[in-house]
Amino acid sequence: MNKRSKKLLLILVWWHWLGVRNGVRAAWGNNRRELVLVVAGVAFLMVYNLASIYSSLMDVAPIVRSAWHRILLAEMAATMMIGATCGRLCGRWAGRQISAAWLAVLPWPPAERLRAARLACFTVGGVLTPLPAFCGWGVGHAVAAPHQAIATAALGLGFMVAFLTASLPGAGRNIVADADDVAEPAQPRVAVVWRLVERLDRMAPRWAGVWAQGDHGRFISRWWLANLLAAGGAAGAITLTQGWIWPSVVISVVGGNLAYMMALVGAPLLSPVLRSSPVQYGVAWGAMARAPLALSLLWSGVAAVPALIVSGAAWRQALGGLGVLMTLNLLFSVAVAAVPSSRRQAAMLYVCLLCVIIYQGLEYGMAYGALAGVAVLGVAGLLWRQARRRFRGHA
Amino acid sequence: MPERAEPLLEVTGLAAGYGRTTVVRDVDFCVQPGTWLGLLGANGSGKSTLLRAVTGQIALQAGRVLIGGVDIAAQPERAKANFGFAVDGGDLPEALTARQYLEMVGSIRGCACDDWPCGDLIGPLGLESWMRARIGDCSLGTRMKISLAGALLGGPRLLILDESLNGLDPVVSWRARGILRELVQDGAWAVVLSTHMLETVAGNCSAVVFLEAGCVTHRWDAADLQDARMQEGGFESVVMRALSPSLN
Repeated sequence: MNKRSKKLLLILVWWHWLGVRNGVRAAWGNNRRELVLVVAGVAFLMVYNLASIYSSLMDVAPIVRSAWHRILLAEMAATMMIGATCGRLCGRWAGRQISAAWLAVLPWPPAERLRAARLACFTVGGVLTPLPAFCGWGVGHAVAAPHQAIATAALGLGFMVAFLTASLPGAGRNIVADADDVAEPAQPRVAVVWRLVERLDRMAPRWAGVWAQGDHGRFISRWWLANLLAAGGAAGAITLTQGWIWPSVVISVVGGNLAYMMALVGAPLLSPVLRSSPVQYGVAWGAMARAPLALSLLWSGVAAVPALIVSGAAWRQALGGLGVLMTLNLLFSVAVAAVPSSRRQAAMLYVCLLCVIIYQGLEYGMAYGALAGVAVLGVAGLLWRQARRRFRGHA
Repeated sequence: MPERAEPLLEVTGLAAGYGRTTVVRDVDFCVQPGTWLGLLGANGSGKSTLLRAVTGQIALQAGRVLIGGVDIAAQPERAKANFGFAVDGGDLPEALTARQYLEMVGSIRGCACDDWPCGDLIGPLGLESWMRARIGDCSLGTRMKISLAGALLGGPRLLILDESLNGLDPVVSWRARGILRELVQDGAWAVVLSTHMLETVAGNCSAVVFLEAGCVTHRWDAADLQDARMQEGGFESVVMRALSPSLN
């Protein structure tokens, strides 16, 4: 590959980055005030959190110094996990970019495309590696830990190794599939249980849930379902063998909320099909949420059974858990309404809102936690109103 | 003197765009029952943005849109019940089959999934073999047929088509134009068609609006169109002369 085409390939791999840059420019042109507010808010939160972390670290500095080796090992493990996660995401991204339809028809052999995708992963990994190394250096410096340089290098190296190991398979996946000219994927098979949930979709507007779940043909991926079932089984076993109620109640709430989060998709609300139809926002939303909500409640009910078997009086906790579950589901619904185009971003918004309540509760007591909860509900109301206005063409 | 029917669509001083950018401005037109309005303009002239604003998908920056006498900004759901919009084929829900899509539209409009004002549409549009196929597996032309069938469902009196006749095969295109023409000639329906196909406009429209850089720069009414058909080169040459004085 000559120098020119190498450059061109790198530019092509970075077209995603160029797209982001253009998007920010467009946002700056159209929504300058909102962008300034977001940047200022994020900067304030970062400074506040860094100051908070530093202050907490100084409080426990002697303990950290005395157990430095063990803490370093834990940091290494966490850094490698983060590195592997980032690497997996980056590998998939690079693989997707390099196998884009418009790029696939250009005369570049699969081997060169694979090389470009790997080069992109190395570049991203190289750019990110100083961050964990700097964090390790910062913690060591703050507590005056021994062997700071070794710790810094170990964290950086651990991140890089984990990142590259996780990124390379994803970077080549689509390209290998193209090169082998594999057959068209088979039509997705829809499991019987999902077919039962689909019956709910026969209410007007019909098939909104099937539309939302897209090509997968199921509401929750097998991977998430297996994890949920494993966690539910373990919690049920602990409840039945040890006689503790809380594992089942907790998994009933958390699992029910996770099932809702996995199944709820708001993207169809952005479609001209619904936005140019005489359907009210609440009705359209109900159509998106009814099947995920049924799944969530089904999970919650089944997961709470061991607690009820152990103690008939557990119905009070189960009922309380149901109330918490409905509140959490409602909050996630608002997050998806605010960011209907991306469930991942909606989940981040939801987790941030929850973190505010949890942090205030843990740091300043239950009363402040409750106050933060009320404030979050107020914000949720504003987000919902804004989403409704957008759907109706008022914003 | 006979009472003039209420317009099916009345656009007054409309300005619309995205964020702080205004794409179309100072747009006025009126669509009476029994008329077929053609919307012409170069790529990027603002036709689709105008139709998005008219159908309540984006906010109006100025002006007013009345659909069947209902203000779309004040009562969007009521106004949207008065028109059928053929969405772009790429915007259809790919996970659904054609039948499921029609059932969904029917359930929203409160009608059966085969309640068309012109009788059966599946056969004339050649959709028989595609009704059980996922929309994601259909070609662009087939998607446009499904979209057209959805827009006509429930018999809304105003049909808004955004380049919906593009990509149809010649036979189905001819049939679709015939169906729309019959509805318009009935006197109760009206069609707004955004297109680049001048021959479709010349052969079917009773009024034409031309957009340039977001503004209406030329208009032709029924009499102008009749004159244009008589001239050498037809409506196409009239449009070209209007746009490029050097061609005269």
